[in-house]
Amino acid sequence: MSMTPEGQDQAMPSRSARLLVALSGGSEDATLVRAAHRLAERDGVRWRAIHLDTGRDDAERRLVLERDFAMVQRLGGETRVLQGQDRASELLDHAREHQVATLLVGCSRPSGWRVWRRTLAEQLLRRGGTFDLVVVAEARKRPRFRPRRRQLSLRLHEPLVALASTLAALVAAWGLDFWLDLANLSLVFLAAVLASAALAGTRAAMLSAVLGFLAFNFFFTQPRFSLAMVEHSQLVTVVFFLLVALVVGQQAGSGRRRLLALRASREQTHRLLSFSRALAAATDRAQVTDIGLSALERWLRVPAVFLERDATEPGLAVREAVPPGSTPDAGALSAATWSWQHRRPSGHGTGDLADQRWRLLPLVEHDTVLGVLGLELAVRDAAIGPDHEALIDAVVSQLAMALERTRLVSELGEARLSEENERLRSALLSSVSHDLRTPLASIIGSASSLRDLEAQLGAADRRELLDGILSESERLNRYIQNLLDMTRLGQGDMKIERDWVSLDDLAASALKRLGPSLSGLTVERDWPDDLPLLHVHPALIEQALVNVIDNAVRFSPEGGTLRLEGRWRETEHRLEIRVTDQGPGIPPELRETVFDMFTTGGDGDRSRYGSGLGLAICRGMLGAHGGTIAAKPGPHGEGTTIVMQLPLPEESPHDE
Amino acid sequence: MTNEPQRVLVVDDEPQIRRFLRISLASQGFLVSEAATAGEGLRKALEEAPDLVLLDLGLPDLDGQRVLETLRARSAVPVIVVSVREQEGEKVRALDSGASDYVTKPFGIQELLARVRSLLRRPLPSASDPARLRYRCGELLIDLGARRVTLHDEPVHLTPKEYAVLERLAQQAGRVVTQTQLLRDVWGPSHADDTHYLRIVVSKLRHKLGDDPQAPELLQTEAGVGYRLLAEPEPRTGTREEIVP
Repeated sequence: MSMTPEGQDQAMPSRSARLLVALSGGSEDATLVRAAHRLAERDGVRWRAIHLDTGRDDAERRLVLERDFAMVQRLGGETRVLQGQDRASELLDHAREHQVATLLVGCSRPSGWRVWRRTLAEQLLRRGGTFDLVVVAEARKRPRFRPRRRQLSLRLHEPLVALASTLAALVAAWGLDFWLDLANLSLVFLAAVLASAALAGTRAAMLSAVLGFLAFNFFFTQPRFSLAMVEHSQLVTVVFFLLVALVVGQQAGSGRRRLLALRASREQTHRLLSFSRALAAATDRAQVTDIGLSALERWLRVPAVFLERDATEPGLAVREAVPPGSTPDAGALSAATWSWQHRRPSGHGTGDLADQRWRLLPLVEHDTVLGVLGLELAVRDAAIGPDHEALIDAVVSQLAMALERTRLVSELGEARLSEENERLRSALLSSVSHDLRTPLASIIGSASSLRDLEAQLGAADRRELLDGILSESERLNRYIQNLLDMTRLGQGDMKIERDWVSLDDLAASALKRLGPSLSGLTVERDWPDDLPLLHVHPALIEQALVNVIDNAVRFSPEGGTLRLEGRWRETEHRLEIRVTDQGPGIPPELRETVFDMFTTGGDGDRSRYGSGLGLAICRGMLGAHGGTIAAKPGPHGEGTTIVMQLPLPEESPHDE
Repeated sequence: MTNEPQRVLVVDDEPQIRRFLRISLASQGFLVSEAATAGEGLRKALEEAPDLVLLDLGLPDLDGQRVLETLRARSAVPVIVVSVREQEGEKVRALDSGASDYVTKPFGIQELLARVRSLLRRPLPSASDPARLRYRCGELLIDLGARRVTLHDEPVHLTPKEYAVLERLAQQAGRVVTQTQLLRDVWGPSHADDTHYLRIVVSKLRHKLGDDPQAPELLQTEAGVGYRLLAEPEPRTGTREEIVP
């Protein structure tokens, strides 16, 4: 079956694919976004908002778009900006490429004066595609948001520029009249039109064109010094001059306007971009509000405050103010409360409580009010322009998002912390339950046997039971010592009192303390005689050694060998102590976690890898001396080797 | 007791516990074998066919509860769970998985020996000898064969449910029966959670059998787990044979 790429596209089942909404930066966008969100929710599909950047968008449009995109992201949609000139064809390409099922567009006329152009919807309909086209009509509830045109305001410098440039052209043309013919002289006036356009815009250019036409006609065409014309060729020249001047002036003026808009838009975009970047880097609430308030204060030159619900008092309180110390008056505060409750802006320049000096803007995210932003707009002489309004909107929505983000992050952190605490607590309980009860079970069992079964027990049995009671009591004592040590380590109360001590002494007293539990095992000691002395807190390192050996004993098979090695790592200036058992070994994934508190290699009383305290204490004690401890597989992959390293002092005592 | 020494298998990972159990049980004439891991314990339980298993729940290689389930699938040997886990949930779970009894560590040796003895002389459920279906506790005689209960040689009148509960407990005299087992066997599977039925019946039973509810000596409560009937099987040639018509 042969198919063209187009044919394939059409054959593809595209119903499962997503929904696309085209935004233009116009007032209908909000309606479009809401409609798209609704449709996507209903059909359970992903949706994407798209804007085609033709390079012709002005600052206002860009800000509207910025706001639209923020809204899209809030509602769970994706956003994408395409580059291109022809909206309809770019949209179709994108729709085809992503197998879009539904395309949403507005029905407004293209902007500008070219009223004969088709609307986007009409263009798309004519070209067609494999998607459903949904045209959304704008809900006209209030006058469209139209940026006021600067050109409408009377500006003196426009006619002045036009007049001056035309006069200059007149003088130049008068001087050149001798050398140039009439048609060429018109170029001088055309130059004046271009100059006016570049300096003062379209209106000045138009004025300059008309003035130039009049001057040209009056001074240079026959009869001179009269507006009447007799020569047909001259009439044609003059009329063409006027036409060309008007068109060129119009183009040059709009070119200038675009340039200015682009410059302003770039500045605005740059501002918002650096603002978003700063917000994204903020990690807590205070940073977010500080960045937001400072930005608004810098751009609008008005005091800005952030209000939050106060935990102690009813109503709202100022949490942050830029410049510091700015305080809204009582009226503004009650407007803030109103905004909080109604989730609508209020105060200066709004439809509600408009007599205030402040404007209050609630920061709403996911139907929750996170705070209220206050701006003392009344301190400005001029009213807030539409570009500033759009800027405020963009900042408010970004701030709300950033605040929500930091709130979620801190909630997550708290949840994690309390979960961790909970885990530690239950681990402590089960560890205490097991590690205290197990030796107690032996002690109580042996003691009650001695008492109750005395008559039936032989001398050797009695002796064995008594040994058991003693060694288990020692074990209980060690466990309690560990608990106390851990508490002290945790509270940072552990004082290190260093003294010179040899590994011989440390090992000897550790093995002596472990006494009875070593019975049935062979203990090998292996270290050179010239091993340097350690400068450590002897009791702490001895305890660490006891814990490691105790752990090794517990996993040693009956009649096994326990190997203690000491090595001087001269290059690293460290002493290494290795304790190797012939037990079952520790799985690689647990070699690090055995040093965590209350890791028992299983839950509850399944204490595979020690009490859960012993090795954690070792790590704490060695760490306090700048040392390390690690679990490694034993030689030939058999058993476990616990490797402890302690730094040696810079000077040995013999050097003194 | 038979002449053959009875064999007890101790499955516990703590050597000190195994040691004192070995000494104590051996002094009472039992043959003791030991296992330190679940795997070894399961192997010995099946190969050596002991008369009783003492099982710790906190084993290094497999949880004791799983050991119990595995063992129960292949053997009917009585098992006493010996564990530091004191939560009711653990006890009920072990008993429902087929443990015969439960002793919480730490324990005195007499407590354990009493449970061991009660289990080892317990009549097998298949025994049909009517004399082995008679239990005595002081002046109370329960004759399951004749469906008759007497106190001080006077018949005690029990409702069918009260008798059913007493019968169920007597079948495992000396051992704990979980409330779920009681409810399921006496009232039916759909009433396994209706513990209030059981509370009322037990309270009436205690009253009729002359047991002190404050300090019961006959019908003991294992809080959150179930009940235990402290009655001894009546010897075959009992002196009170004449009270059974």
